[in-house]
Amino acid sequence: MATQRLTLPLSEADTRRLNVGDVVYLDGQIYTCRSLFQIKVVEQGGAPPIDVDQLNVMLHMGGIMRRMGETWAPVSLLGTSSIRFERLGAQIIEKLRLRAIIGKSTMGKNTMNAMQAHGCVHLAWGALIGSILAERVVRVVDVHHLAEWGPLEATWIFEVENFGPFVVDIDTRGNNLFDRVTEQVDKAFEKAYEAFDLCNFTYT
Amino acid sequence: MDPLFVSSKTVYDLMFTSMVMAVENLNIDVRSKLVELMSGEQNPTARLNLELSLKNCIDYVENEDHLLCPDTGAPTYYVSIGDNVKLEEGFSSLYRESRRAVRDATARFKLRPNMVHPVTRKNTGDNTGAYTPHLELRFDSGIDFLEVIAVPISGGSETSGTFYRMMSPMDGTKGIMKFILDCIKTSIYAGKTCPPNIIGIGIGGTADLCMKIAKQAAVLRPIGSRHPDPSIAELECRLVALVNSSGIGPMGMGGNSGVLDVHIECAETHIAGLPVAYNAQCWLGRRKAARVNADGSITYSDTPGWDYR
Repeated sequence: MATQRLTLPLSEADTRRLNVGDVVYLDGQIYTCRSLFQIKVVEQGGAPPIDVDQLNVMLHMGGIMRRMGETWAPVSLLGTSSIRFERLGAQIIEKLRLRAIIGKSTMGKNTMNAMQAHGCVHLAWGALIGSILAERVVRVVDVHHLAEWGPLEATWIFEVENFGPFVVDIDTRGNNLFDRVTEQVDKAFEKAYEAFDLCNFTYT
Repeated sequence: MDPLFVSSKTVYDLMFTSMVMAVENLNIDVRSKLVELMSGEQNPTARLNLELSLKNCIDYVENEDHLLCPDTGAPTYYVSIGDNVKLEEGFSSLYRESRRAVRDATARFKLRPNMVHPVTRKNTGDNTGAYTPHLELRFDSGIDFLEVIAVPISGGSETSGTFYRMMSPMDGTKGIMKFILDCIKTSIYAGKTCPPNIIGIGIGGTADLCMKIAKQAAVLRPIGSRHPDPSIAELECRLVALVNSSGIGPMGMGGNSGVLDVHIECAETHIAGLPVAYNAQCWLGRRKAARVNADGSITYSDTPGWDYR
C-alpha cells in the first residue's frame, strides 16, 4: 500500500500504476458534479463547460459552499456516495475522458469495467475530513450552472493542494478494495454463524 | 416540587443551541472510543483515517463555519419533561420552537437543507416539513427539569442501516441472531453506513415501538453503556467483539474497528409475534443535551439520561 502525491491532470500512466489500497493526495485542478451535470452531458448531449484535457478528475460533490460577498468558498467538503451515479458512470468516464472519480464508498460493475477499459480509478475518502479538505481548496477557479442548479449541483472548478488522503478503492485492473475486505469479513461471519449454531437455521 | 416556569424563549434557546452544538462538537464518549480504536488499530491506513477524522473534528472547532460533517442529517429532538415543568405557551410550544430553531439554524448555515418531499424530492429549504423536525417526548416524575436532546440522524447510516423483521416466536434467539448478523454484514459493506457505527437493536414491542427503541438504542445510549439484563449485556459485548475482529475497519476499508458499540433494547410484545429492528448511527454519534434546571440554570451534556424502559 503506497502513498502517492499526484499532479493534475492525471496521465494514463499515473492511474495504471495505482493499486487498490494506495493512498493518494492531489495537486492541481478538479471539478465537481452531481446527477444534473451527468444527465446534461450524457443524456441531453450538452457540451461540458470544461476542457477535458486539462481537467480529468471529478469529485461527486457532497460539501457546503458559502457565499462570501462576491466570492464563494467551501465550508465543509467531502465526496458524496458515488454509487448513486452508477447509472451513468461508464458513459461519463468515456465522454469526459476521466482519470479519477472521487466520492464516498464505491461504484458498481459497469463503472468498474469502464475504469478498466479507459484507465480511470475511483478514490474514496476514509476519514471524515470535511474541514481539512475545504482548507486544501486554495482557489475557487470558476463555476458553471450556479444560478440554474444551485451551489450543491453546480460545476465548481477548484484548485487544490495536497488534496486527500483518498484511498484507491477501484483500480484500472478490475480490483475493488471493498470486495477484498468482504472476503475477510465473510469468513469471520461464517465462524460466528457456527458459533451461534445458525448454519441449518431458516426463518419460519 | 416547586413549579419550573420555562419561557418560550428558553425553549427556543435549548432547541437551537443543542442542535448547533450537536453538528459542531464531537461527544466526549465518541471521542474516547475513537481514540481507543485508533490506538488499537493495526491497519496503517485505518489508523491514519481515524487520526485525521479526530483532528478534523477537534482542531477546527474554533472555526466559525466548522461542521463535523457536511451532511448535518435529519434534525430530531428527544425531550424529557419533569412533572414540575410549566411552559409559558403550553407543551405545544415544544413543536413550534423546534421548527423555529431548525429553520434559523439552517438559515445560518449550521444545518444543510436536507429535508425533501419523499416523492417529488422538493427541498423545503429550511429542514421543516410534515412531522419534521421529529420530536419524542417523555414525562418523568423522577426529574425536576426540562431537557432537550438534539440528535441529527445521519443520512448514510439511516438509509443503508435500517432493517425490520416480524418473526415467529418459534424462531427465538436463533432468529434474532441471524437477523442481527445478516443486518451487520449487509449494512457495513463498502462503508455505506460510515462505520464504526453505533448499532441499535430493538426486540419486541409493536412494529413502530420496535424500530423506535432500536433507534433510541443507537442514538441515545452512551457508548460503553450496557443493558441491565446480564444476558443481553453479554450479547451486546459478543457482537462488539465479533464486528471489531471481522476486519471491516473505518468506512469499510479494512482494519480492526467496526463498531463504536452495540446496544440492544427490549419491550414486551404480543404473544403471537417476535419483531426485531436494526438501526445504525454513524461514527460521529451526534447528540447534545441542553437542560433548564429547577433553579433556572442552563446546563449541557454529551451523555444525557433517557430512561425509556
